[in-house]
Amino acid sequence: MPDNGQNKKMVSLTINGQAIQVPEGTYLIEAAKKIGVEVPHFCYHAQLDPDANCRMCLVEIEKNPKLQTSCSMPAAQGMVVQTHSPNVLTARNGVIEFILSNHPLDCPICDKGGECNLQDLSHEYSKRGRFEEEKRVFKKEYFGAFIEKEMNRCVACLRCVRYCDEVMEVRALGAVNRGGQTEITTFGRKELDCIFCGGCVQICPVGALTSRLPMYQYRPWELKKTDTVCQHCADGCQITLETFERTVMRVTSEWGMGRNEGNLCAKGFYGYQYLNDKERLLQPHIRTEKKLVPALWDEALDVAASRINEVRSRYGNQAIAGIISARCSNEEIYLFQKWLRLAVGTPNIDSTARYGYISAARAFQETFGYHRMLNSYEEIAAAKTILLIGSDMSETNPVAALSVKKAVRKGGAKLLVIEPARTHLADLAVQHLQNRAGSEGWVVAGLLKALFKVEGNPKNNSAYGKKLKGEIENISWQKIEEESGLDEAALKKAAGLFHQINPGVILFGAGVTGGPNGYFQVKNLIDLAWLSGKLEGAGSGINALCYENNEMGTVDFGAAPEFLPGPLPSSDSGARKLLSDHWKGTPVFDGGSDLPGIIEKIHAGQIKLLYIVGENPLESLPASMKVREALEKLDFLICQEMAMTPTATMADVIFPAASYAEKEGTYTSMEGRVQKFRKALEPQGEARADWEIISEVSTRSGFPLEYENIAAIRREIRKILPDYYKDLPIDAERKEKIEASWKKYFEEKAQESLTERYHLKSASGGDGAWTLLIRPVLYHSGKMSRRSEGLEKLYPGREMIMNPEDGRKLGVKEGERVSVKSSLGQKEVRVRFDGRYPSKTVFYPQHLSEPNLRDLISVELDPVTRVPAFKVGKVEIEKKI
Amino acid sequence: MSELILFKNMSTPGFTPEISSYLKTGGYKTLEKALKEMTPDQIIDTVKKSGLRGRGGAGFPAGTKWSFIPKDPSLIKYLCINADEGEPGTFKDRQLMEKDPHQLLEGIAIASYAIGAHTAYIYVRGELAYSMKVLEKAIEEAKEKGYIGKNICKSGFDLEVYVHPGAGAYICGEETALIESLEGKRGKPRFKPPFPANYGLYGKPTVVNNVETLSNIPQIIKNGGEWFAGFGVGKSTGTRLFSLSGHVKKPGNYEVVLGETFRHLIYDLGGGILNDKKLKAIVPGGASAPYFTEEHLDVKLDFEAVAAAGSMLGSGAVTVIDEETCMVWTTLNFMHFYAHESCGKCTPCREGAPWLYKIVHRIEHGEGKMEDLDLLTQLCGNIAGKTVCAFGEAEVAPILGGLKYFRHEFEYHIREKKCPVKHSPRLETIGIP
Repeated sequence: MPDNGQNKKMVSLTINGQAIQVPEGTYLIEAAKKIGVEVPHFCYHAQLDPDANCRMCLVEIEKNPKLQTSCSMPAAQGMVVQTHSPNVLTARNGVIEFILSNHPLDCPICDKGGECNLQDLSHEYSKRGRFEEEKRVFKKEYFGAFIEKEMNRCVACLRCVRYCDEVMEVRALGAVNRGGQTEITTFGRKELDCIFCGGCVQICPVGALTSRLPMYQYRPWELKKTDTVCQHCADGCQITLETFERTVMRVTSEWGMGRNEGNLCAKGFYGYQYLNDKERLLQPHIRTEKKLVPALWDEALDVAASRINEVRSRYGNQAIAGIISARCSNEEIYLFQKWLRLAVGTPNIDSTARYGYISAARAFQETFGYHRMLNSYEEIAAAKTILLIGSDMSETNPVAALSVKKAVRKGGAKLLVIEPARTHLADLAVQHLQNRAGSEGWVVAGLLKALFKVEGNPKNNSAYGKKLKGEIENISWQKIEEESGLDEAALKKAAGLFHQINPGVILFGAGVTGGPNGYFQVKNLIDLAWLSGKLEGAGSGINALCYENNEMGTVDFGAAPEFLPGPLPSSDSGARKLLSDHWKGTPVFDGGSDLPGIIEKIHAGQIKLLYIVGENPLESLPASMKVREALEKLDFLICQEMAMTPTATMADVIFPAASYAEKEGTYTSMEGRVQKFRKALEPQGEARADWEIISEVSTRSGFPLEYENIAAIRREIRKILPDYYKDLPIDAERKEKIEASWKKYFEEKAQESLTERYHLKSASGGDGAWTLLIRPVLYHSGKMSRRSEGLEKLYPGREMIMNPEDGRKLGVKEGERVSVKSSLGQKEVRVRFDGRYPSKTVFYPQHLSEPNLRDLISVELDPVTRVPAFKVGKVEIEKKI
Repeated sequence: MSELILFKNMSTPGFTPEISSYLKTGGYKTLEKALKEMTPDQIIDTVKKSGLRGRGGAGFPAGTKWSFIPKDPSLIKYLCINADEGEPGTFKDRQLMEKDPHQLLEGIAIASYAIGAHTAYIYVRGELAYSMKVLEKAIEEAKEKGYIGKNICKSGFDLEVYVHPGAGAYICGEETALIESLEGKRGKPRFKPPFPANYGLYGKPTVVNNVETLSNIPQIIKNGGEWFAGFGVGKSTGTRLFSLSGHVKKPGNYEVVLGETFRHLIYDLGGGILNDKKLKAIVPGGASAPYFTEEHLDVKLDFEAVAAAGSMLGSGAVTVIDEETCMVWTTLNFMHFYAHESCGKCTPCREGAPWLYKIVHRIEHGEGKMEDLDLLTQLCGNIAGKTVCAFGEAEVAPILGGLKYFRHEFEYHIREKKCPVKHSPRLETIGIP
């Protein structure tokens, strides 16, 4: 296939009399764009391979007897092209007449009306139609609850089918029957089995596929469009919120724009209704007696401010702690930590990055002096080998996962997936290393052991290489196999392949960072990257996948006791001085407690007031962390929240927070792109932006922390971190710094923790025979997705998922209850079967809390980063009698 | 008829499709000679010199087609044999496969060697179950004797040949649709460029040749290109198989030296029109070839002459239509076929074929209007040449040919609101969009 690759020789051609030079292989339709000529088309799409089926883009090429499709014809030296000659126009009129011959002309009741390619081109190209025969009629069909298929409007361009195949690798749609009877339908005409990315709806040039979610509720031209960033995950997708009055009607994403290039996932496309949630908190609440009652803003702010001052004067500033969600904006995170450190005078601050990402951030900072992804999405797509470990990436980071899919499909990259379940990406892998859940550390050790067998690797004999080898030699293949379930041959095959091919990237997720010893595991993975030569050379690297959309921001702005904005270590004297100077005060940096520490100190009576912004620890953390007891023990709990969460119900003051669609700010994606989100709606009720609330509380408690708007906070941030808002992907200078940093690390620091790091704990700890795995699913991110009717319909499941064979042996049927037991207790849950999960491994979606199976897992704190690991545990399962 | 090439073996009394019979005729000696004494380039040169043109329909020179395959030995290449004989009225390849399969296999082996392919797929029309059975057996036999498989004739050349059944779509006779179908996809033509010679089966350089084309190869290599070029006229060399059908006394396959006339084929070989009626029309090269009439009887059976007379030699299917047949009905019959077989990829063909059918259907059943005739012509203009493959040109051929020579019959239907032929079977719209 010809491609539109760069670095090719240029060819000169003439289009409509205008000379132009384009890289060889450029399709004429793209070449024409460069001189401002839009060749009309239906089937062509820049994301897809050309198919040349609609015949709308025909052009005349000199010395060519027939008209040619400009979407599939590569530009060649000396070509003379006419895009709108009389012959061409006749042909195009013909195409439109043919398309309209059987078209129902039902624009007035078609949701596409007003933004339909066919509607637009009909105005331009059709004369009166001459079709007088009886029209072909297909019955309307629904692809599940979310897509309406009106085949009569279809132009059979197959964009939907091609997108589903070429970009998503899902192949849920296909064309059946022939000729005029061609019909788009699901595979085998079964129920739509797809990942609901909405891509087919977005890419349909006409009204054949439309979203049923806002069906008949809008006309496109009535919608106000606000370009913003998706809040569901850390991929950093650009989206457009399309609103009518005070309601988000739909989400779209412009093709080719943003880091996602217009691609979305189910959460992005169908998960917007939480913004319209009818159960939002509309006014502040104060606890009087035992009840939370609505209050005026003034009252609530005064109560909060006075209680803060009371606690400070009675118990000291450090009796106050704050926790902020990684879904807040950079500006809010900055302000929150400034308020706590400077105004309140407490170092006790943490964020939800503590649930895992902080381990990667710290390991990366220490190794690379940089904690973001080392590779861009483009580099991942161009990689020739990819090692994915501890992440069901197409569920947690569905759009970033498209880069992996692209690498495999377009570049023939060899994908290695280390993952207990047979995931979507595992299906595309050249090798799926199906390890036991929680044994990732053993797999990495096995890969390192295998790598040392590769001859001729100079690193084997380097100083650190020798030490590392010595450590690894202590771990036997037998032990590795016992723990991971993977044999020597499989690991050697994978390691050999990964070592051999360049460029190669490592991607890892919460399976590594959120597991026991996550911090060491990340460091060991860095060893793997180093030994396999993946820290050097263009396009190679190692990358942590974040889950919440602004985990990066929480680290960047020091919402953690160990970091200050920068991020710089909180012990860094330069950073301390810089902040003190800019803040014109004496902030407190030392002795801060992290999230587990805050809970411990509440229990110890040392922390009396907790201020929570947008987080719900009561549901996020397992019962054994005793969050409920801690919250009950507090003198005072203040929450800023969009809706009444279980944590909020325990608060003494609740401030209603604006949704991200109702305010402005920036998020930093895991790739490190700082992106603006914009206000699309007025806040519901009396809700206010989180930063405004923090500012008000501070001011009322006697410390004016006033900003006229978000730009003012941004100006202040720029003074401290001058480059923060510049769009800075990793450039050559940064690369050099990173390289110098890891070289130094491997010479000096890496050996320090070596023995400790490879003192691997048995993953088969605990007494039960089953492994319980808690992970997010594609359709849910927690409280936002649970409040999005669409996502709830897409994934209404409340069940624990089990291998069908296990179910059979246990004597349970789907939908029946089983008892799940550990030393921490016993819960009952219904089961569903899925053969993608290995025997004796049960999966429970992270967003579910009834029952909260986390409570059965004994929490292990990371010895370095104190990340509470509670995503994998051993349980016993019995049939419920 | 003395000059037989393709039918030579099977015309010999006692000849059977078994390999023993083929070997007795000196079979596979040519393959051995080619492998041991000739370079691939010499073979391609010989075929070029023979002037052999593709027998599937388009008549592209076979040697030239082979020469487009990149010489790079590190590239995987494929040979696909188009045995998806589906052009209405064509039934010649079937006879070659069933009666003399080894002649075809020897041709396949030589062609594979010439283009550097080690895998060949014979894509056989799904309905031809018996042909496939014969081919499968012949492949087994050839393997046993070492003419297919590893190290053929100890030359070091390897070749595997597979039989692949088609799934019933006419369009899969189009070479790129055939390739798509072989890959397990929907049978739909690919846009070109890139051409199969560079981007064919599984994206590799590929030659697609017709059964008859390849069946000629052993004799060409054995006797030399000049020998073959000695038959025929001008650029139409050798003999061709014509499938004669319709209203003739002796329908069947005839091997004719190119350059003879339609009159010779229909009257001398076919014995003339059934029941000694008058000839009304000839379909000279399968459904995709515009009609000829009595006045074309002396047109020569050669590619250029037929093209100059406004039609094409196509697949070699000559269908004879007598004076009592209604040409509107005949056209309707063809349009039914095209509307049914359009793959649906390109808009003009997908939407145009059923539309044309519906209009002709109306005319045939007395519901036409005079304006319909101009509309038909204009619609044909918007289809032909506007599609990925030649199906667009093919589907308008019956209408344009019909309007050219039999316009009066169309007009009669419209004027009199009926069909003059009483017993024309009525074609129903069932199955047509």
